[in-house]
Amino acid sequence: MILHHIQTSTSHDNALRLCLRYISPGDSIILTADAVNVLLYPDLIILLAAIPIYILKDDVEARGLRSKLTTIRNIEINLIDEHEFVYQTLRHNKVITW
Amino acid sequence: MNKFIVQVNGPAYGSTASIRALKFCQAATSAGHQVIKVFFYQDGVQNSNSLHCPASDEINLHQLWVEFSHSQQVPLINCVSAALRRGVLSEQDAEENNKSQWNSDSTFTMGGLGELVSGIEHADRLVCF
Amino acid sequence: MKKVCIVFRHSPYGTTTTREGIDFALLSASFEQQVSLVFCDEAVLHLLPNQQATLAGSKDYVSVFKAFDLYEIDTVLACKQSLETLGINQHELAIDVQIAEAVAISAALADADEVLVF
Repeated sequence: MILHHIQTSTSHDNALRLCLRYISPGDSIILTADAVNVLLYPDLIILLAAIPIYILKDDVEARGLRSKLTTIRNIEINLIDEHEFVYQTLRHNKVITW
Repeated sequence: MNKFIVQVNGPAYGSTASIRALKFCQAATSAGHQVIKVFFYQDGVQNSNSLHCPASDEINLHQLWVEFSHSQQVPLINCVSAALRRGVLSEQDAEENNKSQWNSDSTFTMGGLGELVSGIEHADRLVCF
Repeated sequence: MKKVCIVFRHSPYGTTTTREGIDFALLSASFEQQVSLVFCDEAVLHLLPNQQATLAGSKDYVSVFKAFDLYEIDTVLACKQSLETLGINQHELAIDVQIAEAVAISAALADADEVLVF
C-alpha cells in the first residue's frame, strides 16, 4: 500500500503518467503544488477514477480551485490538510515522491 | 510516535517544495511525531544560505527552517558535496577551499550522503519534497 | 539494513538529477543497504553505449554503471515500455539489465522499504 506523491503539473512533467503505469491496487495518490491542476483535465480524471485521491487544501485554496475541484463527480477526492497528510504517510507502507 | 526523515530537494525560492516540506515537518512534530532529521539534497541545499534577503512582506524560508530547527530540536543536514557544487559553503568549507566568504548558516550541518542513508535506516518513514 | 529502491526517470545531461541519484545509490550500497535500481521513461537513455558526458558539460557518471555488481547492486531493471517507446532494443544497451514489464516494476516498488525517485 503506497502513497504516491505528485508535485508537478502534467503539462510539463511525466511524473503522474509514470506513477499511473506502476501503481498497484490499494495504492493512493496525493496531489500537491501544481499537481492539483491534474483534476482540471477530464482525460486524466478518467485515469484516476479507481484510485483514492488526496489533494492538499492549502495548494487548492491558494489557487482558488476549491469549488471547482471538490464538485468533480465519479471520483473519490479527499481534501486534506498537513496533519491528515502526515497521517496518510503512516497509514500507507511508504511514500513515493515522483 | 513515529520517526520521520524528510528530504528537501527544492530551493528556498523558486519552487514550493521547501515550504511544503516545512509545513509537513511542523504538522508531524505538532502531532507528537519525531522528525529525526531534515536532509537537504540537490537544489535543497540553497535553503541554508543565510544571505537570502526577501522583501519584508515575503516569507523567508531560510529563516523559518532555522526557527523550526531551534524550536523543535530537529537537525538540518546539508549534503556537503551537493552544497559545494552550488556555492553553498560553511565557514569550515570556506577555509578548506581557500574561499574568503561563506554563506551556509551554522544551524545547518554539512554532512555526507551517509546521513541520508542512516536516517532512512532509523526512520519509520521517508518523505521527499 | 533496508531495501532501498532508486528510480531514475529523467533524461541524461539535461538536468543533474540522475547524477546525484547515482551518488546516493552507490553510497547506499556501500553502507550495506540492499539497493535495487529502476530506469524508466527517458532515463533508459543512460543505458546506451558511447556516451561522452563531458561534451554536455557533465561529469561522466555513466561509466560507473559497469561496476554496479562490484557495489553488490544486483537488481537493475529497465522499463520495457520506455525502451519500446524510444525504439531501443536490449542488444543496444551498454550494461546487462533486466528488461521489466510494468508489473515487475510495481512489484519492485512494493517490495522495497523505501523508494527514492531521481
